[in-house]
Amino acid sequence: MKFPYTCIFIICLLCAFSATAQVCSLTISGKVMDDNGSLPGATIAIKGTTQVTATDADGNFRLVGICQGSVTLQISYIGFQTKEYRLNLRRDEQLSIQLQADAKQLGEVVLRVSRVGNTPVQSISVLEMQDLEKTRGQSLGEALKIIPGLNSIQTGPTISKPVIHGLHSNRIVIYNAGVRQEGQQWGSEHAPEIDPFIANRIIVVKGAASVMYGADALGGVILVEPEHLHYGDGTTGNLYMLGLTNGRQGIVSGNLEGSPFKNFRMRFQGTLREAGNARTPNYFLANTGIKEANAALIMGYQKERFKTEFYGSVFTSKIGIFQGSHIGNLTELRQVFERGEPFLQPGFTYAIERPNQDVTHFILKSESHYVFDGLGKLCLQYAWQQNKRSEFDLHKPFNDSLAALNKPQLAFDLTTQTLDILLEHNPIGRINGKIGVNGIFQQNFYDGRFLIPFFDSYAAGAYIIERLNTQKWDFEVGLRADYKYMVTTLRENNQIINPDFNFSSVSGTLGATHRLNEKTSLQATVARAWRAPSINELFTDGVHHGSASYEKGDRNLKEEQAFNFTTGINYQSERFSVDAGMYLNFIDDYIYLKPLPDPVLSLRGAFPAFEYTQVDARFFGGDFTSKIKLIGNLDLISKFSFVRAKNTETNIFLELIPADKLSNTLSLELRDTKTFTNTSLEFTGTWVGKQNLVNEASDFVPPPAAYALFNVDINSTVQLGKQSVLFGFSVQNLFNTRYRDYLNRFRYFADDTGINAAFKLQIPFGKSNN
Amino acid sequence: MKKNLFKFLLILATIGIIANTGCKKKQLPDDEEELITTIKMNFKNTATNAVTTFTARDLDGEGGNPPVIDNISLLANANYELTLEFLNESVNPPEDITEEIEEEADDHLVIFKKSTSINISFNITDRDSKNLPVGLKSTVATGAISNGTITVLLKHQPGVKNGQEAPGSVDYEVTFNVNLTN
Repeated sequence: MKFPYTCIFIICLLCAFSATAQVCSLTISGKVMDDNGSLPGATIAIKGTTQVTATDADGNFRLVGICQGSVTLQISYIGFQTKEYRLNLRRDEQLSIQLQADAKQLGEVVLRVSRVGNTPVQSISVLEMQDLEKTRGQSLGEALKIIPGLNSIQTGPTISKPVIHGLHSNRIVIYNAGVRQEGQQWGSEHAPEIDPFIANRIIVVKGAASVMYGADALGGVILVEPEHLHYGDGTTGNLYMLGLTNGRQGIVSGNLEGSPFKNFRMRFQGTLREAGNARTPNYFLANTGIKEANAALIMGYQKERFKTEFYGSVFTSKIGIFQGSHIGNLTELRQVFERGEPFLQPGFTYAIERPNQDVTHFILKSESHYVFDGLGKLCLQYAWQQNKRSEFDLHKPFNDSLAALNKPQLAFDLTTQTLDILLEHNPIGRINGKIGVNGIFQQNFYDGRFLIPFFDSYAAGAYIIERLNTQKWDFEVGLRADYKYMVTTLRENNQIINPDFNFSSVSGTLGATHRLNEKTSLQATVARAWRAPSINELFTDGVHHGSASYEKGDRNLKEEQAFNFTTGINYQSERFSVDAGMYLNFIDDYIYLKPLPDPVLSLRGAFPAFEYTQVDARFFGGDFTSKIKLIGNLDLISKFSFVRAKNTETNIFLELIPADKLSNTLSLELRDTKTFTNTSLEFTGTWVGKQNLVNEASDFVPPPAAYALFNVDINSTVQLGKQSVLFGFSVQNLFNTRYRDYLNRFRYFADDTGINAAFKLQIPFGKSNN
Repeated sequence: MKKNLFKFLLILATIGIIANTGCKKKQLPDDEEELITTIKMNFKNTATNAVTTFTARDLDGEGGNPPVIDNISLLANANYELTLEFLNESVNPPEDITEEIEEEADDHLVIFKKSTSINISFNITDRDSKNLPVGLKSTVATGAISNGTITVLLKHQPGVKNGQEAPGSVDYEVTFNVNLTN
């Protein structure tokens, strides 16, 4: 499997597009204002270049074709001193520039620049490159756990689904390279089909964000953003090599970017990953290996006001499911739990047996934009994606001819097409914003055992989101309307039937940020979001062998509606910074699995029965981060998060809610030397409490005890002659502590994974012009 | 600029074409799932050669209607030969799965459990290739008049069968009420 990839790499290298003339592609736009409103005739220049422009009658300006990297803007106006503003330009920026006359000195001016982002006025966490480097080797779900308020629902060491503020699966939305990722996300053992190496930056919007990101975003949104194409730059690339001791995991990932001719740019990215049986402190977990091969290609053309980019990616994985997790019935589940450790404890192997999953995800995307003079930026995006999932049960069919086919017992094939048209209009007065429409067409097929039906689903949405920026305040208002029609095909009592469904909703958002002073800002939002019931909630009918429970859907379920209130405070000074946020999320008609009084009897034994039903729920919680400079370059970073979630009709706690979590990191930055630069040492202790707030009727065994884990992380850039190499060494679960986590579904059967040391190497190559 | 605008419209048109041709049609798959709907217990009285059959049947699988399970009635102080049959009666004609279990005897084991109140004992007579019990055939000895339950378990133990109940997972588990009478 490694051979073809090596081939592709070499071919790409041979194509060796040499560095061409510099074509820079980024845009800085925005508005200049003074106390009296917009300021026409102000001059904006880029220092050290000939690029210069003046604001129009409304104070708007736009500079195009700017190179990536450090840029200094010079802003001047008659009667005022010229002011400079430096920014590290990585993507198109929209700025709100305030010139304020200094009251004390005539002619003096105070400059205030705020970046008008594309993300909402809301609680946002961003993982930049240096954060991501530390999480290399982890799946997306695991990597995100360093953000307070984020957890993951695990199915053993290989499957990890992100949880934001206690909500997960279909209640959060993931955008992969600008495409709304559509897989079979309803399954708790269905991890997002994303190669974490694709990300150059991950943005997490915590809280309801349906207006901008569409239905389902009740809990939040995860934006996985690849690196922008560096138009006009030389041929560059990176090679990553990682080795992790637990599961004896090896990862090779690389990217190569270049331009065969002017205005054009392309990048290829690929990752191979293989791990065998994971190990707990005392034993190996049978059949927990993983094999992954991913590739992505981005091509772009950019000229003046026009840009078009094509993106294609393939994600393939084969995941072993721990054999001890297939449970025949409730009696057996109790026996397994009482035994305390798995019956089957084999040695190490890379081989993947039954049960296992085979998942493939394809994305093709075309994205273009054109900047119109009097209007703004018009963007158009079409994406096609296909998710294929095959699940092989532990048991082969008894029938020999069926067994010989070796077909998966469950197979799903979901194709999604999305079309987005978006106008980022030119500022009107102090107001920036965008108007968009969006359409989604989905088709789902299955083969093998029935779990969810065939369906065709059509959804359309239209939205507007506007933001007013003043010196001390940012206000944001958004409104969205959505409609969804779905027609299903299934067999019932030997008849083929076609139940159909209509869902619709209006979402809204209202947010404000207030800058009290240079160091402190406050933020508050109210948002309304919605979610249509997912296909399994409507139709599932059968036994889940991972939890030995019988689950039944309900075709009469309605839309879920969330009212989300968030508030936050941010303080930053030289020695101390704090970021604290609280939220309150009311979800009307929250869909959940209600335990039924009587178990379902069958020839397989008795199964506790659950039915999807709707109640009103309330999620309340908070996330806190603080950073204190202790001495010199030694920092203490503390993070704490908690969630409380209740069914407000019965006042009973909801299940699968993360326990309280506290982590403390001692971070030491060493002084740069000739050979070693950016050297950091980190020691982290994480404590996860026991989830005492549970409804005992909804679970078979009590939640596991609290635990504490320790990690170390060492990173450095080493200069070897002309070549710089990034080295990383980390150890997770340093003391090989035995523990079980409430959100890991394998807690019934086995301990969580033990010590895991990782050796990481990143070799950047090629010549950058910047 | 006009040229670029033209390109933009061209892309829009291409997308429209792709979107219109992207629709697929497929046939709903047959319900081909393999189901064991019926477990038959055939008791042959070794003295009289009379055969009595008791059945546990769940034609619609898990969920829906609960299984219908016969009450087993046997003579006290008697000896029986017991054979088990596993059938899929949801298809026509019914499919006999017993043979398939016999073929995979190395991976399967039938376990009989009884409540303390009843005077009955089971002795498995059939053996797999490793000379471990299988349980599709056994001899049954009954004692004095009594009532209680017996539970029949089919365990799936691929590669881990050792003659004991513990390894592997439960495929089927049925509990019958039993009366021993004169």
